[in-house]
Amino acid sequence: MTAGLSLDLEIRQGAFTLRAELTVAAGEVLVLVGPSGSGKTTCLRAVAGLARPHRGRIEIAGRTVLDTHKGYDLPPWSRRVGLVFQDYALFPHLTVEQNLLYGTRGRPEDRRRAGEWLAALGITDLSQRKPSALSGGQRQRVALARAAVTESDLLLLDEPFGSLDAATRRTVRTELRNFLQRAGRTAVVVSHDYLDALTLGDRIAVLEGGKLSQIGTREEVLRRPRTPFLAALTGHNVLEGELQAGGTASDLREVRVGPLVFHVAGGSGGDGTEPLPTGPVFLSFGPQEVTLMREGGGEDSTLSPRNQFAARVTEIVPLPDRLRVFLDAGFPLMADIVPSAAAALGIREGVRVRVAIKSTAIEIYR
Amino acid sequence: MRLQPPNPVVTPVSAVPTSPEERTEGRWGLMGLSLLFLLLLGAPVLALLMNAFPAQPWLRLQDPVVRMALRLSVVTSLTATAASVVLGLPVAYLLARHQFRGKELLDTLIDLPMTIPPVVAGVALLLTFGRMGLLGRTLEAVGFRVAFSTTAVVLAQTFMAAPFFVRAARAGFEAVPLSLEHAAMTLGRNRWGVFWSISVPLAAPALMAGVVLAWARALSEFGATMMFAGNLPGVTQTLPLAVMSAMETDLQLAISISLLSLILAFGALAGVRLVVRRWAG
Repeated sequence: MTAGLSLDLEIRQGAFTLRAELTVAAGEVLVLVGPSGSGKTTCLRAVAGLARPHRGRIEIAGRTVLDTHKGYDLPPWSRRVGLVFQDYALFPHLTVEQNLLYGTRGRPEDRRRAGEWLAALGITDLSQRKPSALSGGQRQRVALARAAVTESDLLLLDEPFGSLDAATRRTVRTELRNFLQRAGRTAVVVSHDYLDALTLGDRIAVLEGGKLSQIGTREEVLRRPRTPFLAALTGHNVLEGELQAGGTASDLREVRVGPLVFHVAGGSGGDGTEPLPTGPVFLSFGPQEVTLMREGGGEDSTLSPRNQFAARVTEIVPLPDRLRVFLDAGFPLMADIVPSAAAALGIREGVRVRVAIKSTAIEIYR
Repeated sequence: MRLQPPNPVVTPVSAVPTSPEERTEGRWGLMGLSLLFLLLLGAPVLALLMNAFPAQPWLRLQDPVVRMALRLSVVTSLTATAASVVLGLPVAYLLARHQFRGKELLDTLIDLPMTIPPVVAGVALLLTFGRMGLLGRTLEAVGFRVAFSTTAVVLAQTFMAAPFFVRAARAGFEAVPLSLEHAAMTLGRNRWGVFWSISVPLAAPALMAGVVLAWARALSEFGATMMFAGNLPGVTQTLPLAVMSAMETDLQLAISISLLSLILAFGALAGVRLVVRRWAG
């Protein structure tokens, strides 16, 4: 089966270099997440033909649209790509219906398809309005419909929630998932919001600083984030360490993180999986798994956790039902704690505390 | 490695709050000061009207000199405006959308006719298209004489008027969001199609303004025409030149032609304002 999209790009913009290589299966929805300035939008623009890569190859539905090696570069209007812009880019001088028909030849079947999309997105009664008379959510629906009406092989959505307020985002997220299912086309959605990624994507690709740092299914990326950015987005702590040989007990492995040694359950092959070989690994655990104790009590032997070390409180951020405490233990760390416990422990910014993490709470992966 | 807190959810500001009662204290003072400006512009118009009407100017419009000048002015100024649009449109779009070597130079060159005295422009045109001119010599060789012809009038007017169109059109194109043109391209239209279906309609008010400015400049052109085309009734004598000729012999005729020019300009401005307003609305 031919891929819906395969690309291998290198784009330089001043000191910034974007390098990306990925394949999206036909009909698959890939969400490209990353912090702003990571090159997500540049990547989309290159696929659409609006930005010119210095080197690379792009294939859409088995058709080569760019091959710098052969000097081949199809213009945007020949690439059969539907791009939904972050600011929607609706034509202000045309009605909603005219916007939808702009990318078609205006044949009866085009009009029928436009009507179907208007109905599917619940905006049929807006068809004679100008974009200036629409709300943000309505504009977005028109932009989606316009991209869908053309017979494109690939849909590209640039920050589809970027210009919507929080309340609208929630409803639109569901709508967008239905939209993508209905369109049934290969799609790449660019977002800096990992919730988008979770709701929309079959697979998630993470772009950071111009490089693809991780690509995988929703579960993989969520449970085993490989980068600090993704860890912060998913609310996980992620540490990079060295898995040591052997180990003290048969069911625990030792991982060196800086000067500390973590004891981690799992990764030893006890659960039926292959034992992890020694070398670099990631450790990840939720902030709710991190226990905070008063400093100076020494190692508390009544507690089962073996992973205990000192840290300094750098910041306290209130969440609806708890406090998120940011710590510096030679590496950054997050811990969640209820306000009453924080008061009892006397946790303030700058205070030194003792940190404990149960060995079973740590996920280890390569 | 670094750990960052999750991105905060940013709620966009929906609209700039407008106060129901804007403060207006400064208005009367400004109006008073503006009165001086109004006087400077309004008084001459008033003077012209006051002097023209007692002389029953409509009777003088039958004068063949006036009719020839009017006809010539309308034909040449409209031709020059059309030429300005045709020649200026690509330049305006180029300047609005692209960066290139020599852009500054082109930009300065466009401003030149708006800043040099029109008479100087006339001399320069003569040195270009005159019998011994840079291009004139070649044109003369193929039996084409430009100077002191109606063509020269159109050339002089275009030279002076086109920059006004280019300036306005460029600003108009620059105001069209690039993302709209890009969206149109991804929807399957090539650059030519995008230009006519998106760029031009969206820049239309600015383009119309440019057309009016250029046309007004062409209609009022005097200095360059005088030097380059001369003052031959029926051939190169446009309304402004006719006014000057009449001033020497028949003051009332000069006033009548002046009034005619005024009405022409005023009517055109009002008409275009109406068109633009309907377009925008």
